[in-house]
Amino acid sequence: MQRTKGTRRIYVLAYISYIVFFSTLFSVIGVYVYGAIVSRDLSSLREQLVVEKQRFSIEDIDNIEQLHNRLAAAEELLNHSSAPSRIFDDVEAIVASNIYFSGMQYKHLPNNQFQVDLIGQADNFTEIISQRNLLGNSSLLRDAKVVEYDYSVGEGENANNLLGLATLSFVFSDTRDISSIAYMPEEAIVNTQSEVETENVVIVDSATSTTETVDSSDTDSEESSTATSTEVIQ
Amino acid sequence: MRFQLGIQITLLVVALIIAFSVVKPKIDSISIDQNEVAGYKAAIENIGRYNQHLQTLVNQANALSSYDRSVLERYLPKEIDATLVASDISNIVSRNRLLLLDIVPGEVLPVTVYSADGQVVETSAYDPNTGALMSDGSFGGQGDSLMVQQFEVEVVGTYEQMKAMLSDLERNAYPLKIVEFEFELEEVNASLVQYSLLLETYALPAN
Repeated sequence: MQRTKGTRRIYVLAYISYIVFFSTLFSVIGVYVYGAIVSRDLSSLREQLVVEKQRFSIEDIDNIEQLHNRLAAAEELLNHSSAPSRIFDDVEAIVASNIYFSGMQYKHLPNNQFQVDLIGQADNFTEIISQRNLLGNSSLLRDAKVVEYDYSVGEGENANNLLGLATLSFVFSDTRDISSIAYMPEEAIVNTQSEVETENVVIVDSATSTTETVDSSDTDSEESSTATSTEVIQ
Repeated sequence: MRFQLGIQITLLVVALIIAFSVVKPKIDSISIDQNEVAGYKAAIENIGRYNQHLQTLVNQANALSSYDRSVLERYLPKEIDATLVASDISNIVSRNRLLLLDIVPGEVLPVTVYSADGQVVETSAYDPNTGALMSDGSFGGQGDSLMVQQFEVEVVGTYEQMKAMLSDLERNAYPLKIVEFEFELEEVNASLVQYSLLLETYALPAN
């Protein structure tokens, strides 16, 4: 009875040891096979990546990048363009007859705004107030304020002359966003006219190259058309 | 009995040695390879997307005619030719029958970036990745430098001539931005007036 019990214990251990040993051997084989598959996949993916990378040359990418940058920069410049000449039309429409504007200062401010100072002269404060009220009708300078004034009396022989020689200098100032005077194509502003279109072409040519305008035999005719169109605008 | 027990113990020990000296390192190696595979798959997916985007850009670039490209190059050149710009300004002035008194080119500088409250943030720039050039109304980002050159100009002419000149400057083939403009009549009803202008033009140098 004792021998039988001892033999059984040895068999159980034998099974376990054989199972563990051969399992280990099979797992070695399996692991190496799986490793080979993964390595093959890795190589394949590396090759695929190289092929994808070679689809476009670095030069192509640089060219596209530069063109993209240039287009984006040009678009931004266009979007932030300004046309200060639009201010004049606006001011001309609301100048009182008894006010004399003698100067102007326009400044493009760094924070994408502009400041306009209109320097004028009047005989008395009532005229300035009247002009300020008129500026309220302006689309661009309706918020303009009198930022300074200088009342001076000229020299005269008597009190009556003194009254007549009094002058009042003043400065209207306004700060607005640059988008309010954004550049608009000529066709959108003026209803017109072949002369204006001709002038456009001349200006573009002149900006393109000096030699083009100098060498061209049509220079004189271009200049004359410019002059004509300027007169038309006037 | 003892001999068989010895073999069994030996087999277990050998199995353990194999497991720790061969199987485990190999599994670690496979794990690294698998991570690499995942990385490469992601890279290929990304490069596929980038290539698709790049192909779209290439198609767009190819669709741009040579005339359009020349217009773009003229509008935003790689460098500022101060002599040519001065010549163009002179042409515009003379075409409007004003008298050019003086024209002084400034230095070519990177565009200065300003915050909304007007403080200097940094000099220049353009971010090629985001495409953002101006934030809060200023040039912003980093990368390619947008260059600027200013020209101080003094002219004499009538009010109407001056207005026509400004219009021509504004619609020039490349930006001649009017940064400052000033005039003051010395005499009442004077027909000829002296005007001071500060103009700006831009360039985007190639890398």
